[in-house]
Amino acid sequence: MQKYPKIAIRNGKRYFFRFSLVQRVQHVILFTTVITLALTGFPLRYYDQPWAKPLYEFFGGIEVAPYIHRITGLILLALFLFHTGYWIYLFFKNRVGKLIREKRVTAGNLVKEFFSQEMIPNGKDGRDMVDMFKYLLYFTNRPPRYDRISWKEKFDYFAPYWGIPILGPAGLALWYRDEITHYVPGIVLNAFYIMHTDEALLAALFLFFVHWYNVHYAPEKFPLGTVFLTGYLPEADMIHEHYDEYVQTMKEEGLENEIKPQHH
Amino acid sequence: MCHNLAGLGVFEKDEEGNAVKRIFYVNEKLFKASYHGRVACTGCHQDVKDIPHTDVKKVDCSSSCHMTDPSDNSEFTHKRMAQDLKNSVHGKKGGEHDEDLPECKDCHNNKPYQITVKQSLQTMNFLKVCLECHQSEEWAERFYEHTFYRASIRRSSKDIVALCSRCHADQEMMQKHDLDVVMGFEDTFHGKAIQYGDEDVANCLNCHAPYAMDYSPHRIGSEETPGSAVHPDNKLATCQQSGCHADATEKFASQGKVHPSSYTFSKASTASNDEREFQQWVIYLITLVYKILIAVIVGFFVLHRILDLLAARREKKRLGEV
Repeated sequence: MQKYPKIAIRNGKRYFFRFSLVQRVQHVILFTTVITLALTGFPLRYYDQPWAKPLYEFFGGIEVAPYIHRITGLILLALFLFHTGYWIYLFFKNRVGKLIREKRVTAGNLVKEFFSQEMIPNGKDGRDMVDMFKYLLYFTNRPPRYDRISWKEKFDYFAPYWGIPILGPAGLALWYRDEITHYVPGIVLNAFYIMHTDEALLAALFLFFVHWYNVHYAPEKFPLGTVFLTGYLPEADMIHEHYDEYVQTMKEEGLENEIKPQHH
Repeated sequence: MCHNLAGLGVFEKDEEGNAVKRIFYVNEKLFKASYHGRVACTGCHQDVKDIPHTDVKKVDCSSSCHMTDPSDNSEFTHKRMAQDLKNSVHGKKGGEHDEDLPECKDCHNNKPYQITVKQSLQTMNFLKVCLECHQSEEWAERFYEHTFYRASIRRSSKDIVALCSRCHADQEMMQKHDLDVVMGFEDTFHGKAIQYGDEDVANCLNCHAPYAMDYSPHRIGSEETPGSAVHPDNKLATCQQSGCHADATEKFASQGKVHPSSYTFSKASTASNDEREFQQWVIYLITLVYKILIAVIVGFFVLHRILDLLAARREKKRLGEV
């Protein structure tokens, strides 16, 4: 695998490494499938809205759009499985491997390693969240100093990681509606139908209001942040969003003297 | 004679005392092109003997209309269907609120035969073939229109849903008759696909009285009528018909909800009613949980965002002042 320098310099500005190529490609697949699924799904939920019919017709109408929706859904499910495998692979490579080499493989250490992964919510996230609201509600002038992944980003991350296991199986069950009743009562289909569309609405609203705000409409990001394409985050954003990680990376790279303050 | 004068009509008082105009004008051209175009006026309005006439009785569709049924030369009549309707769950049984029950004209009107341009282009030569033997062009054209119209144009699923909903989605009327209000069909895939013009998914009649299974809307029954398409004994076969849900099971048919009505007025507390209540409760609960989830999560972040923007402004101000 290509080695990514932790700090890249372009035009005299520092950029901090965040996402590898594999991760960025996964993200592209994730958002293209999710957008396609939303565009071929919501016209059905809101069939009586004026925009629904033209949009659905664009995707081939009732004859074609459901198939696009299902195939796209399968791709998203495959991505979910790949990502889970990818996560397990990284866990074993970076964490379990180290434990084996150091001959410290115990149940306790494994659990500890699992929960110290950067994506897993931890105590600091809870404290950061409280601190953030203290800051937002005028109790303090000092915003929390986020580490590599902030609690907001963990929300962003676990939204699809919670949503896909609900939307995917429910969608599959509705696709194979006859066969599924060999195992479960018919009312489950009604329940899945509601869960599929309500969960999708939750996901869409979350993406629209929360995620897109973070990366598109926030004043400092508008029209769009480029980290999802380049994998590198500009220094100013790094200071604003991940100050703890910023300080640590600068120290590791021997740039201690050039660390900028969180506040001007 | 008089009825071809546009504007012919009388003013009458309706039940609330408002003046309403009853139009007696008949567009001859439209009528001639309609189902009944070859029936004389007195074929249906049988009590009209003199001109002018008053107090003409309502038309009885089960009367004989002085036409010959070309299939067996008998006198033509809709008597059998009227009898079927009377015996069906829709038949008037002399009970309370009988006036709500449908009559022929509530579902049927005397439409013109109008096949689409595309269909007429596709079948035009057929009329020429008819005319090789049949002398009367008018007769041949009518026979041709009748055949192709009846073979190709059925009521659309959208129209059927609208027709049945006129009564069965009327909460007040259903309550009077101690029936479930049919709700939620438009929220199912069947309902939505129908709104998008899909004629392959089930409309009301495809399940409640499918011709494909030798049922007929005129002989429609309720789920309590033995031998009806939606009776518990026959439900599974109805779901499986025409390969729709070929692999469905009893669980699919008896527990899945095609229109999960949320209002139930049946008074009897039976096992099936308890089960139904449980199912409605499950659906209600899931919907509620999602409403709360969406409101809380999205609301939380929107609030966070607004505060964040205010904080950014505050920061700017602070820096400006320093």
